[in-house]
Amino acid sequence: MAVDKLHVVLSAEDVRKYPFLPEALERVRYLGLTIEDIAAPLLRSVVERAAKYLEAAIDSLELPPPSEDCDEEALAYLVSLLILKIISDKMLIRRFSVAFSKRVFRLLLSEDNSKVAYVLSQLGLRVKLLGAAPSGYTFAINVFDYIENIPERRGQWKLAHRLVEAGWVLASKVEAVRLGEEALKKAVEERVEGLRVDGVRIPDAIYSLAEVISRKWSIKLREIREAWASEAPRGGEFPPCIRAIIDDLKAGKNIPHSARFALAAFLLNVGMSVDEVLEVFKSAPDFNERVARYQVEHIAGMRGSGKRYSPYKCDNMRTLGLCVAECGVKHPLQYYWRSARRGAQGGQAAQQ
Amino acid sequence: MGRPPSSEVALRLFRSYYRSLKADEVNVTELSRREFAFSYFGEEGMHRHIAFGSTVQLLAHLAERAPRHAFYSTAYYRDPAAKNMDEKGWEGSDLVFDIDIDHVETPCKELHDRWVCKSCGASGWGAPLACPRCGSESIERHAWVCETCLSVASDEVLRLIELLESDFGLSGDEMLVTFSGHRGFHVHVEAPAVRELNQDARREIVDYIRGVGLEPDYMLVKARGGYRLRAETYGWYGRCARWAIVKAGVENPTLSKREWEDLLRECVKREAVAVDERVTIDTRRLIRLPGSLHGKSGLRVARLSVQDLEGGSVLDKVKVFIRGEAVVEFEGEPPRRILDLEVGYSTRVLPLYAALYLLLNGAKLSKFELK
Ligand code: SF4
Ligand SMILES: [Zn+2]
Ligand SMILES: [Zn+2]
Repeated sequence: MAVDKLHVVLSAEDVRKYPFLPEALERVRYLGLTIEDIAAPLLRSVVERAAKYLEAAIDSLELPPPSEDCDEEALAYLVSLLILKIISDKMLIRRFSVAFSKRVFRLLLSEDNSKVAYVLSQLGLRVKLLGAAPSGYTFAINVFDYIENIPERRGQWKLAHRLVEAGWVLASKVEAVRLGEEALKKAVEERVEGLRVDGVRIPDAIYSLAEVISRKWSIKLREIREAWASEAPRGGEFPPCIRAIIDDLKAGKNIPHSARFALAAFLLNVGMSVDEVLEVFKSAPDFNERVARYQVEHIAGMRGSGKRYSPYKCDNMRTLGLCVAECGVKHPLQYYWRSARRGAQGGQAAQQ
Repeated sequence: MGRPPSSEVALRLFRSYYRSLKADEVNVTELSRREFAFSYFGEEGMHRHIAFGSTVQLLAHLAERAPRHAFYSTAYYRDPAAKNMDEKGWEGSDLVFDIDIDHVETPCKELHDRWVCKSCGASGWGAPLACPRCGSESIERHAWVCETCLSVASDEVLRLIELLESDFGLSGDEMLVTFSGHRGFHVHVEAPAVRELNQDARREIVDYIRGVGLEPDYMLVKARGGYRLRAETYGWYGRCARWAIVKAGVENPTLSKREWEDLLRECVKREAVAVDERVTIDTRRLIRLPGSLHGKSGLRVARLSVQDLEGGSVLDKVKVFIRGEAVVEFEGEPPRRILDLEVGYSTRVLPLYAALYLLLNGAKLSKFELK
C-alpha cells in the first residue's frame, strides 16, 4: 500500500504548534540543547511554561495556547513529558495526553490539507489526499489505522457506515483531524513510557517542579477518590473482574469498549442509576459526558431498542480477556448476589 | 484400565500420517514465536506452553507423539513457552476468522445431525435451536458434516475473501485458508498491518463483515419523494446499491425509509459473512495447526486455495486415509450421510477415512475392524 510522499516545508511556527513532530526534536538537538545544560534564563521560562501545562491538565484539561517562542515551546513540551515520567502516574499521563491532544486538534483544524496530512502521517496514520474529492471527502485513511483510532464506536464512525474501498476509508478534514487527535493521545503516552531518566542529570528546577505537580496531583486524586467512595457498592461485593476494570479506570488506563460495556451493564443491574454510573466513569481522563451519557442510557434501555442489556456471562468475559479469577460462578452478577445474600444472612445470625 | 482399543487404532493411523508429514504442509509463519498445545490419545487435558525452534523440531514431536489434537497460537510471543501471559510477552497476533457450519444454514442437517432434548427426552434429525416438543433449549446435539455443508460453508469463505480483498485491500497471499479439521474453515490474515490491532479494532472488523449495526439513518440522504443512498460504489453502500437495482429495477432508486430498511435487512442477510465474533476478537487464541489431523474426524487441517473452494474439491484435500477399508457394525441409528458417503443401518464395509470419522466422532459402534 504505497502512500505518496507528502511535500511539506515546516516552519518554526509549525514546531511551536506541534512540538511532538520529529522536526521539533531535531531543532532542539540542532540548538545543542540537552536537558542538562539549558541556560538559566531560558530554563526558567521553559519550566514556568511546563508548570502551566501540567497544572492546566490537572485542573481543567484545557491547555493555554503555545508559546510565541518555538524553542521555548519545544523544550517545555519535553520538560512536561520528563516530569510526567518522573512522577510516573498513569492517570496523570493520560490527563496530560488528552489535554495536549485537544489543543493540537484545534490548531490543526486551521491548517491546510497537506499540512494536516503531513502531521497525521508523522503520527503513524497512512493517509492520502484526494484531489478531485468524490462525495466531498478530501482525505483517505488506511482502514486499519482508521479502526485503531476511532473516537466513538458508533454512529458515523462505525466502519460499516463509512465509504470504504480497497483498504481506504474516506474522511472529511474534521474527521481526519479527530483521528489524529486519538493517535496523538497514544503517541504522547508511548513517548513518556519510552523516556529514560536514570543516569540523566536533571536540573534542580525541574525536580522541584515535579514535586509541586506531584503534590497538586495527589490532592486532585484524593478528590476523585472521595467521589468514588461515596459510590461504594450497596449490598453485595463486586466480583474480581469488575473490581479490576474499576481499578484500571482509576489508574487512568485506556480501557477497551468491551470493558466499559461490562462495567456499565453490571452497575446498572445491581441498581445504580445512570447518573451514579456516570460518576464512576468520570475518573476516566477521556471522559466525555455527552457520549458517556448516551452510551450508558443506551445500555440501560432508555434509548434505541428499549431493551436493557444484561452484563456478559463469565464465558464471554473470559473470551474478552476480562475474567481475572475463577470464582466458580457462571455470571458476575451471581457472584454479587451470592455475597449479598451471605451478607444478609450474616446480619440475621448476629441478631439472633 | 487399559487404553480403549479404538484409540489404539486411531493412534496407529495418526502416527503413520505424522511420520510422513512434510515441512511444507505445516504452514506456520514465524514458528519460533508461537505457542503450541497438544492433547494426546489416552490422556486427559491439554499440554500447553510448548515452543519449537524450527519446523524440523515440530515435525519430530508430531512423529513421536502423534497427538490427537494440535494447536498453535494466533499470537506472536517474546517467550512463547512461558507459563503466564505477562512473561510470555504478547507481540501481536494474526487476524483470524472462523466460519463454522453450525452458523450457516444448510439443508443437509436433517440427513446427519441428531438431537435429544434433555428436558423431555424427545429426539430426532436436524439441528433445531429449541426442542420442538417442549420448547426447552437444553438440547444435546450430535453433529456430522457432509459434502453439502462443506460446500455451503466454502461459499461463505469465498465471500469473506472477496470482502477482505475489495474493502480491506488485503491480497490473497496475505491470507492462509485452512479447513478447520471438522466443522468449518479458518482464514488467517498474517499481514503486518493487522498484527497489532487491539480487540476493539478487531471487533469493528467483525461488525463490518457481519453487517452488524448498519443503520439506514447514516446511509441515506433525503431526495424528492423519499431517500437515496449517500453513495453507490463503496463498501456496504455498493452492496446495498446492487440489491436496490435487483429490487427496484433502477439505479439508486428513491424509496421510503421503510423500504430502505427492508432492503438493507435483506442485503445484510445475503451479503454479510457469518464469522464467529469470539474467535476474531481474541488476540490470544489457540487454533488448529495446519497440516495436523483433527482428533474428532481424522481429517486433515489442510491449506486450501480459492480454486479448491470454488471447485468443490475440499474433501479431496482433507481426506487422509483413502486407501483401505474397515468393517463396522452400528449399535444405534447411524447418520444417514457423512462426508461424501450415504450410510445405513445395514452398512458393513466403509472406506477407512469414513469409518475412522465415525469412530472418532462418537458413533455407537459394536464392531470396528481394519480390513
Ligand atoms: S469467574 Fe466470572 S465473576 Fe469471576 S472474575 Fe471471572 S468473569 Fe468475573
Ligand atoms: Zn423437550
Ligand atoms: Zn451436511
